[in-house]
Amino acid sequence: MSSPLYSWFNGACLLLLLCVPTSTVADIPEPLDNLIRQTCLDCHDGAAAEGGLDLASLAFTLDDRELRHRWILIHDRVSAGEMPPDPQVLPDPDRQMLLKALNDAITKADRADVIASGRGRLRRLTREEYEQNLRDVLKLPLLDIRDMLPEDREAHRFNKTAAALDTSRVQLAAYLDASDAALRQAVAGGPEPPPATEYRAVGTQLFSATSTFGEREAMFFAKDNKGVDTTELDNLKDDPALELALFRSAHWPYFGYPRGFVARLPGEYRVRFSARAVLQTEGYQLKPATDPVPMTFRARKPSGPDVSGDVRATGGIIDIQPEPGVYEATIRLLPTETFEYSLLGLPVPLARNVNGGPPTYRYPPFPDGGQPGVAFQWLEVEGPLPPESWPPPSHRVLFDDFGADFQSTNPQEDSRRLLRRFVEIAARERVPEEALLRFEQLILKRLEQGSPFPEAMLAGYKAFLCSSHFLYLREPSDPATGNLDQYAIASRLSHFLMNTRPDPALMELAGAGKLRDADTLRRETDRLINSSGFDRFVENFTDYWLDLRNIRRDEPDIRLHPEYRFDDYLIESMERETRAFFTAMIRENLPASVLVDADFVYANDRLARHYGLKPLSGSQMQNVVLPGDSPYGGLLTQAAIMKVTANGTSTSPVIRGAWIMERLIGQPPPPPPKSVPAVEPDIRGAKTIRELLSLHTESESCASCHARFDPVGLALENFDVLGGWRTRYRGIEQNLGQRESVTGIDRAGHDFAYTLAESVDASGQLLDGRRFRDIHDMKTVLASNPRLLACNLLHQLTLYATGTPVRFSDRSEIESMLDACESDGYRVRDLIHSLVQSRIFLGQEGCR
Amino acid sequence: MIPRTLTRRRFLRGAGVTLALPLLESIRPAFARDIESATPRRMLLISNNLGVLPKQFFPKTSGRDYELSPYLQDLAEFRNDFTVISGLSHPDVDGGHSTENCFLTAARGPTKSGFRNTISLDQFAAERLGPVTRFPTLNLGVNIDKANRSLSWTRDGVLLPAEDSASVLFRKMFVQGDPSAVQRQLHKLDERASILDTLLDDTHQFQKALGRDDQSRLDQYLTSVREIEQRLDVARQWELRPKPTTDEQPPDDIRDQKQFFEKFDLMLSMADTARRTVFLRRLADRQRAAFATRSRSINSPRNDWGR
Repeated sequence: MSSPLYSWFNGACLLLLLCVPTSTVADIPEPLDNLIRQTCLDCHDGAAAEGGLDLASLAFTLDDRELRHRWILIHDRVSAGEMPPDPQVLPDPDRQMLLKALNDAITKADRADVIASGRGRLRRLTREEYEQNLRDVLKLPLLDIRDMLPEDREAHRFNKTAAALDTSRVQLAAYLDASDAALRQAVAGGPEPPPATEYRAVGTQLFSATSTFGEREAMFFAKDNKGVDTTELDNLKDDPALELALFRSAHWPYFGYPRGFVARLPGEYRVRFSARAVLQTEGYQLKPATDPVPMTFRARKPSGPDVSGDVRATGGIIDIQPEPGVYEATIRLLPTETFEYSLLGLPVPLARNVNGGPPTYRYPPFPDGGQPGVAFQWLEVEGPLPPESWPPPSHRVLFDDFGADFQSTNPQEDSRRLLRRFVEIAARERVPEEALLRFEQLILKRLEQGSPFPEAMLAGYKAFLCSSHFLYLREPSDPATGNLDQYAIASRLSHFLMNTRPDPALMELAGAGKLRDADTLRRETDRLINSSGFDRFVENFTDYWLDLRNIRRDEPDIRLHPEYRFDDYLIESMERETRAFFTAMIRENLPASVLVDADFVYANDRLARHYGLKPLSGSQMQNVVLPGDSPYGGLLTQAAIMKVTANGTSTSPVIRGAWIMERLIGQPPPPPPKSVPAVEPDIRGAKTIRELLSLHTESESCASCHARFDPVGLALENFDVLGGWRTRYRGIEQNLGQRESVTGIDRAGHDFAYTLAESVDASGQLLDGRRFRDIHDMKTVLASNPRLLACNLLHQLTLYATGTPVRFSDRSEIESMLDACESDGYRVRDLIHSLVQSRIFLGQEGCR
Repeated sequence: MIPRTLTRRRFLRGAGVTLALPLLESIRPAFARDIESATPRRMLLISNNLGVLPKQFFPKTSGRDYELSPYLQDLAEFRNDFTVISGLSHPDVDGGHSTENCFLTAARGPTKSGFRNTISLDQFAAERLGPVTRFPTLNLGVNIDKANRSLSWTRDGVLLPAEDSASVLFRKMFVQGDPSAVQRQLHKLDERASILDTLLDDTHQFQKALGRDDQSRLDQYLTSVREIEQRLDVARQWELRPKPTTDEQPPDDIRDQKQFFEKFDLMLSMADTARRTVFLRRLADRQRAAFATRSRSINSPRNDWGR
């Protein structure tokens, strides 16, 4: 964008506009012209026009995209009743006439633009899509090259927005490096699979040391349910009756990996182990637990408490049951890595150097009945697990039945065949012969210059994987190109619902030209929604739409919220809840109103406590019906949403309200005026947010706008920074009158003290004058307009699926989709089907 | 680990240095004579694992006539040649000594599940600048745990090991490589150039079938291809160009940690650097002396790693 040529061009356009504005005003249709003159010019005229909008000189040249955009804004503000400020000035019949005239003219111009240049632009793959495309093409499901590519920019909150997916030198160089790395992983490294190693640990080998940070409460070896003294361990060492008993989370400082195991080769390793959930009682005694304890493994280097490089949870969450049992996990390791026990939701002992003395630890007080933990009896590792065949499937993609020795008697001939075979597998549309010849020439040239046969082939493959054919997605807008258009539909559908290339079934339908057939399209959409690749849609879409990728952005302030200190398991459970809920919205075709209200939640053991529900057992998300008076239920009040809309220390009704109005309701507030400072929270607890907010509500110019989004935020004031229910605010100031003080030791062994401050008042008044008492009332209000919720959802999905926001000329199409889904309560899977079958998704031709 | 005491040994352990040469210069013809006299701009990044005491280091006043802090008193003579910038700490990066690896990456939570390091500042600078010098960056370290500690990380969190042997560094800089290794490198560069040629032709063709808006989208792609090609040319010239000569003897490797400062001298002089860097107080005097004595004996250093 910064090229001098571009700026010069821009400057030239600007000059042209400045010279000829008044002459084009004449193009404005007569009734529109009159109405604007009567109604708007009082304020919007000349250099000093309100809001910098000078209607007298704003050209009505709607085929110019910039100008069209400005007229769309004018249309929308009049349509929303925001302009003119005094509604009396524009009586309703006039308003309707003005809107219709504007609407017709803009729609006509926008539609003409869509027909001439397509609805959207060629879009580059995001780095997530590129990685998944390579995984699928090369049959390398564990390929990890995403982070070799620079992070993609975002626009309109999404990273799939075509206009923001630029290509730079740095990016292209990174694509070359990433494709090279991927291809090299695909090639068989030798005539046989890499040798697998086996490892078995019992007794003291189960842990890297005989004690860990946190003293004996955190970890000890036990025999016959009694802790064994460290001095006696030398005699017992490999005694199979010895158990490793662990009672802490994996949190620095900690190095809880088995002794002496390091992966030499990258790959998947199978871990089998025997374990049981236990309770620790006083005197280092064990008894069976009452509930399972969730755990996972963390891959990392065996570098002691100082961690270096990746720390990856791997192998999934396993619930260790109270009865001894054998468990199995498949974990991913890199060379020089080992893996450590990562028990979830357990305490983190406090390490202290009192007065510079030797480190001491404080393990927090045990809960009633004993401290939950896990006792391990033995552990085996085997790996790297060999691929299903050798050479591996990835090798066959590149070299067919050439073995790992690549003996070719006729390299020229073989290279032609292999290249065509590879492109057939990798391309998402037919590649013209002309292009094939070019890649072929590259390989032949490399052979001529002395490259060995496999190297020359990889050069050709690499070129194709970095070419425009592979990097860009087309707009399905031009049925004249025949099946190319069908392939564009296939790619759009698969990148929408699986974040990757079309699978063979979709490619076949595209080749047969069947993807504009309504029934086929519906069946395929359902198939993708039910596939495992759909998880990638859920993850990527909620990462951006709901900011879930930022869920770990702010640490909870432990002065005010000591109960949340280092509770990674809670944060992780919150994230999983929202993704599980969104998945259910689509797979179970729930009505759009569940965005704001529902009579169930997805919860596990930790979330049940967080939400004050009946205790649940296990880490899996379960569908739980809520008691009638629960404030939870619906996306709106989920802990993850409450966290990403708070800053870790305090909640702001302004920020939460604006976020909800934009993301869930689809009515983003305009940007705040520059002159007004943001409200700073008072964490001493002396003032409530409502008192601080009065700055905004008392000034009329602020209040008119804030009245649109503050109320939702105020109704959410009962939810703290992590979505826990509160009836009183907290403060840290101890000396403010007769404040009730709460003290204790938190889950990480720290002393805490906070005060209970003012009661939370979650009541308020809506813009239309209706009053609400609390979140229950607010949910009723928001759920009463499901069309608004569905409309917003369609806007978000449109942008995500097509890379282009809803255009003005799309609006009528959106309305008819909503009409079609209305009778059944705007169910979410129905909305997706309508979108996929629309001209917005399929291009002007639509479906049959 | 919670250190029991703060010893000199601990202080020195893990100190690392990264040089990015040079920063903030746009790409120019590598061997143009007219720029020989221009003052090169450099980036020298130093981490000593326990840092400096901020109150002793950062001035309390700002502006041109700020009052030198106790540590900066030693650099009073050069006060017009440097700027102190505060507020560059990483308050959200916690996890004890593990955070050393995040000094130039600011990646959060190095001990937490899901941690992966990100691109370090020196690599980021090198990526933007391309092969202006023979070595885009030099990554050096003293008393480091080479497999686990580095200031330099790739975008996807791969540790780039620091060089901790002075003699190896010397060989890299002054001793001609094996001709077959040079040939192999040239062959690799040629391959990339051939790929780029193919991509250029192919994209021109691909572009023809597109609408006007989409064509302009691909102009970005074509510009990127051409820019990489230019950089490949420069890289190729570096491979062909002989390394500079020196009459210095190869240095001995340092096994005694007390020689830390001598080693620092060597590194600084080799990089022909000194002018715009804020140093730790204890290094200041020696660093000045080193520059005066050592840089003379190196033949045309600016053309190589130090333009």
